[in-house]
Amino acid sequence: MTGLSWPVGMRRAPTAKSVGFMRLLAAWHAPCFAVLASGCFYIGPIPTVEYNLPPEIKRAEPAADTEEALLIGPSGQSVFVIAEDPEGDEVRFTWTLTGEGILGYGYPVYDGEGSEIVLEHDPDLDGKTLGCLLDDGENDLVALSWRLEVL
Amino acid sequence: MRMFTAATLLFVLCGCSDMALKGGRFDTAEATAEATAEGTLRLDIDPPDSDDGTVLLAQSHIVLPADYEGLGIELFDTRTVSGVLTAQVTRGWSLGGAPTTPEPLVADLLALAEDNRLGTVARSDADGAFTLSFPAYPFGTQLVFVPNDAAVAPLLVLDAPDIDRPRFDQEIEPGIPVYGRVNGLIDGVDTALAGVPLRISRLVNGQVISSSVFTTDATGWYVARVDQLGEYTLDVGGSAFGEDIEIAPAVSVPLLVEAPEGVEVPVSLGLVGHATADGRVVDSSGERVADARVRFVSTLLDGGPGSLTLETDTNRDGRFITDLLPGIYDVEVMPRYESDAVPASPVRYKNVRVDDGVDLGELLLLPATRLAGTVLDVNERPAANVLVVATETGFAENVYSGRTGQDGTFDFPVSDVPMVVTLTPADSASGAVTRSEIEAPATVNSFQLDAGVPVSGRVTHGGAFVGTASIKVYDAGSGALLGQTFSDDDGVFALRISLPEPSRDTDTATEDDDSADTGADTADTGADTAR
Repeated sequence: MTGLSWPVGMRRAPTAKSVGFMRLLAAWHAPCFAVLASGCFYIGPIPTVEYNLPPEIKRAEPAADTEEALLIGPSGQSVFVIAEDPEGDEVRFTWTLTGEGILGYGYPVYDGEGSEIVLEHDPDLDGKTLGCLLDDGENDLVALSWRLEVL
Repeated sequence: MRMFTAATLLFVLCGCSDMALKGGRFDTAEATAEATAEGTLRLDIDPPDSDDGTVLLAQSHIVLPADYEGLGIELFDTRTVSGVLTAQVTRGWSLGGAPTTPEPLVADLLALAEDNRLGTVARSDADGAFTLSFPAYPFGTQLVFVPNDAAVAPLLVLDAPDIDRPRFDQEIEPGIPVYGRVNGLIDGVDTALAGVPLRISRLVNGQVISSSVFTTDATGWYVARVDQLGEYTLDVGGSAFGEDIEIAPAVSVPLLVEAPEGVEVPVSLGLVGHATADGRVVDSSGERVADARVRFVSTLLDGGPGSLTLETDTNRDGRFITDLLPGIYDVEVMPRYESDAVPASPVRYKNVRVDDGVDLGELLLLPATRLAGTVLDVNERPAANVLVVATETGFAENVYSGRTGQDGTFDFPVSDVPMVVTLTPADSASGAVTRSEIEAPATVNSFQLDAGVPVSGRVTHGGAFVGTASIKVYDAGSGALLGQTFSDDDGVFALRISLPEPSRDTDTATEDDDSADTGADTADTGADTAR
């Protein structure tokens, strides 16, 4: 993590492994919860725990969350993210900058499944962190970040 | 096809070898002339890395007029050079006398290509070690080394074709000094100014390349180094400086370096100092607005040359206070994004007089509005699923967007300022990517997609299809973005673009000529070739 602090409730995208673990956990807890809640036997439908999966990143360009800073040269730098929501929800992209808050929602690309922002060659950006929050409207956020260095 | 013809003709005219054709100045000059010809397109392509792990870099391809369809775009490989950067360090404005032991040099590295093609950047580390990757354009690439201290070593430009090996150590010579003293008027007294920021720049491959920022010393003197004789620009001031936080106007000084001994360039900034201005930002209901941005753009400064643009933010109480130079300004007040809703509209107050201690009072933000209407296709039928993007003209250049429904209508909140509206149809049959400039969003009720001209092709690398490549189409001459899309899994892309106005007559004829040759928008990989 570089620079950006995420409000409570936001978290990074789970990996395929962690998503699998969450599904296993849900399957394990659902019957246990049903039995415990009824005292002994449970007659009736077992409640289904529905999990919403966060948006999946199809492409982030340049690569996000790397150790290397994103260098901004004299002609500026374009940054874009393309994502897909497993449930088909519309993904909202919000671009942020440390010290600036929300920059905006970016320019829609890839038929609206992506968002692009163009950073100009501005010395004030040096040392700041660009963030992109992907929100599928289900309280499941994915955060990407780029540490900026201006040449 | 035209590219092939031009290259062949060039070869015959030069009577030169293939090596000379790639690296010779004649070739690059010819390419530049082609790239700026009316109707020429530049396609900036940003591909993902290939499946085998090969790193492919964002790169530009020039498309000549009438070659817009069936483009076979073979991506350039990535070329990487690495090495150690050193400099014969010389301090002060003498030429240095006896050579010193080279020291590692921290510098920014730029790979610049002609015709505003995409390049790349890198930075050397404390040991001077660097690695720079860039698209292997067949000609016209230059490597620029920008030392992080312009007083120690000059900016150096090398032709990439001269670097024929991946290992590349470079020693930078002391260069030619450019030096002088910066003065300004403080309380009516001509004073040498310490700590004033400066940059020296020159044109490389059509782009302005600047040195790192350097400052005047305690006696007001500066020195920078350049690698060759020629024309430069010295940019001075434009911000707060010094221990007393004075404000200096931005002044650009053109200069000519004619002799290896260097050149003295004194700079007078006129009036420096500061005038404090404060005020409050309120919305249309009279509520104070926190975190609003207030930008001052000078139109006329008192007592001197230059200009000044400074920004400040309001505090929690909606108040701001800033230091400026006395003069006349346009004051732009902009709200910040806070939520999905558009909070308010930015406002520009023109010709505001600023003197020391002035209270600008309440600066009012106007209410937001909505951009609503209908998009019609080329046959004047409602166009469904059109992406409507409205970008503020000036101010923060905020972007708002929506999409048309099945009935072709759209409706979304925007700020109430002049906008550039870009309509991107869901399919190229509906029309071209169409741009319109509107003065007042609330007065708009319909747009019609232009017929435009088709641009299509296939992106490949090593013969393999390249999918999910971002493709932006620019007018090569003006640099205006005409449309953007992505390649599909087969590397195929197709869109229609509206050419800039002056080109339309020519290109209507071109399109007619082409229609007999190419027909549909479908990519034909074996046809024309973009560079």
